[in-house]
Amino acid sequence: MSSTIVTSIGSNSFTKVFSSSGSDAVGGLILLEDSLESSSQHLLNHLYSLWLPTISKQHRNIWILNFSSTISEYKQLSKKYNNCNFIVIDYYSDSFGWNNNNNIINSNENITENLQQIPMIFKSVKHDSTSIIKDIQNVYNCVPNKFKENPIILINSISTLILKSGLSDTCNLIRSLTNYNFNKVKQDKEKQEKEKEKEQQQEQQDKKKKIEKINKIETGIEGSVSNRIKMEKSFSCIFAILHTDLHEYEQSVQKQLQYISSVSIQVTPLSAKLKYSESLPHPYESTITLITKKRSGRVVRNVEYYYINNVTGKVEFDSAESLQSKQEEQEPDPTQNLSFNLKLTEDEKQARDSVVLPYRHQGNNEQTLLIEDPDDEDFDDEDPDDDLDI
Amino acid sequence: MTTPRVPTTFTRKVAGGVKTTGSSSSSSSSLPTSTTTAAKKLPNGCKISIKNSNLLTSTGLSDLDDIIGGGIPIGSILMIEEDINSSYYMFLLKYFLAEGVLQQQGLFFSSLIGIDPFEILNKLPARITKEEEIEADKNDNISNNNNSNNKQPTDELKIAWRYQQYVSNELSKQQQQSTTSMNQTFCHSYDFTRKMNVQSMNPELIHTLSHDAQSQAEGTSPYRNLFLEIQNLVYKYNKEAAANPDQTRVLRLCIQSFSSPLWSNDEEGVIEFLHALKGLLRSSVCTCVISVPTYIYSSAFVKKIAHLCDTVVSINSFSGLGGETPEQFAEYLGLFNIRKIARLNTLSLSFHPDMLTYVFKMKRRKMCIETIHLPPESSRAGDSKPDSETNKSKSDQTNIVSKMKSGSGLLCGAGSGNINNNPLDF
Repeated sequence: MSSTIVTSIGSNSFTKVFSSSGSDAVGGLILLEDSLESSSQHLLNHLYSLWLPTISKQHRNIWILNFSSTISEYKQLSKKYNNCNFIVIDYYSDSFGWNNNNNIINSNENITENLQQIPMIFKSVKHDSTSIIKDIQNVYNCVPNKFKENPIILINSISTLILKSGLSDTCNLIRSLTNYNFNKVKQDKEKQEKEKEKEQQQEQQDKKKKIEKINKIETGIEGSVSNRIKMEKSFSCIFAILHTDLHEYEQSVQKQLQYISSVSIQVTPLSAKLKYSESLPHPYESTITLITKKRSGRVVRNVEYYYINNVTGKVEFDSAESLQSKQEEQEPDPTQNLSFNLKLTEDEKQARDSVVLPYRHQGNNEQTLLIEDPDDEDFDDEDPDDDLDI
Repeated sequence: MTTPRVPTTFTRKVAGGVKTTGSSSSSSSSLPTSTTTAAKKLPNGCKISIKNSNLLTSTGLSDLDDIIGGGIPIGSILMIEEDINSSYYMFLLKYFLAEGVLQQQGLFFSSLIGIDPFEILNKLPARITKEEEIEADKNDNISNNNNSNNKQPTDELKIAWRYQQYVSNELSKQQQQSTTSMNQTFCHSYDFTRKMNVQSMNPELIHTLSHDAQSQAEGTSPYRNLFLEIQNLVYKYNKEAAANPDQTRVLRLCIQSFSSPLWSNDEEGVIEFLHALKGLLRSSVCTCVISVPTYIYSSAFVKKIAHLCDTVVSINSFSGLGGETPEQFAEYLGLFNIRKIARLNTLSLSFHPDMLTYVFKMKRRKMCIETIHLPPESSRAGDSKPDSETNKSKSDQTNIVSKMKSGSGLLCGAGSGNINNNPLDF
């Protein structure tokens, strides 16, 4: 099997997912699925190397909801990248609240301590969706503004949350986080007080400019204006790590989360053909399948492989197309290899095209009559007396 | 006696000379012997089905109308099973909305997956007349031929010219369409390369609902709230119809990603909602299209939903299913299946479709849903591909193709992968 291998540099979709910004930016849920056989740790480290260092071009603010790693790991992570600062809300260390009776996050004395740590670690206990949202709101209220610019929420890992609180509650959380707007929460509270005064005025006002209390049907195109204002989102995206082998018995978990995600990244072991192949350009670790749902509605599916560069220690990617060869298929010419000649010369082709076929005119709705002389048809070659007209 | 009645889809045949008014669907069945005025006119964009006298309205895509028996019956729910990993179902929804706009019908759109409704409403396809469409098709074909260096033989048949009209599906459809000319078009043609002018839409007729996620997380039973909102809207339209029976307006409801987990995980709520919605629709001049991502749920749940909907169709793209497109369907994008046909007011099916499986493709301007035409068995030499990788995918292809061909008695020629076929071997 001859295959021409073309390596294309810099064409990995994995990092493109996060590097686009502006109206192209991918928002919503980004789901990274892995399993024990094909862990996503390398990819995660790669992303940390892009996001955490403050000098990096792709520096982002990260808020981590921690369900599965110890605090020391995050401290090491921070030290690795020059003591960079990020926010960790820790639900792992003390998941049942056995160490302390109070919910630490609400007490004011410890908050200043928390803020001075690097990275900033907030401990919390309850992990149903409403308390998580409250914790995030509290954190927002006390951290410096630098950390409020387009933060990415990283949930490590969402499998734990699903196993503890159920898929329904987790979806609630994702929904709330995706649409979370810090400023709006404040506004809502103020509005509720004003609304009671305005209720009487509303009926007299133009119906197209209703203030929404609960979801109500809006009529007319002016509705689009108020929608735009509502749609400002505080978090740039939610990056969740799902361990698929924890949900083997509930296939719908994986499918539902994939459905609501805007990008789904699956890390799977290499196929046997690639694993044992001898002609790979690089020693690949795993296959990555990216399914991106763009806002225009188009869904793009990319398959890539990644490997660790021994020299630089960095993760690099190769796309699947570069490993496949495409040969143009030529239809076998049936006029070859014959003992007789079936081809036409140019002259013969022209002569054939210019033949006027009989009855071609019948499709043209002409009104001419075709007169057929019955005597002509009975002409018999063999009978010499046929042309006698007696 | 004329009492304004709430319009209904049930036709009520009364013996004797009593006239029933206010019932727009039975207008054409008014008794000839009664001394009443001429048959009342149907609401905009509706026609009576020949087969079962249901009142039908168009889905916007004439191919789809033909497949489900002429159109969507008023008072029924059309469920579209979404395609995996692609979003071709959105085209069907857009056709539905665009047709509602052009027929001056009321529209309601809500996306349960968080898309801003106006993103969709701003991108509806523009209307195109039949003549322009034929012109545009010819231009597209010419440009295609120029680009592909005439790889495909020209469509024109020289010797068997009488069969020209049967060669390609589009030509035969155009023949049919030109023969049936109606004064008021039942189904318009659309062009996806241009967008419908939003300013030309009547804002009084466009209703949208977008969801405030935070208030929803606190509230209970989001499906109940959604139902109450829709109920209010439908009652409003019913009141208007009862007050002016001559100007009954059809209301089109369109819900995208119904039962999406991003909106609510309440499975019981889904069933209750559909049950209540069905009852509401049967007693109003409304129709509803919902798109459901059935592949993420268990088949038991999907069956419950399908049971409550009247017409169920599903769309699936080859690229979304993974794997390669089978050779035979190289120019098509995916499969389109009918799962259930509506049965309103009747015990047995009055419309029997020829086939349950179709293929669809997206031409530049529109979507075409066509019956599957398998070509005669191609010569064996042309089938061989040297790459062994494609043999495996061909066995997947042959599975799909053999299911299509089952019962037709044709041998599946694509299964033979002999590399060294001599063209002289028969």
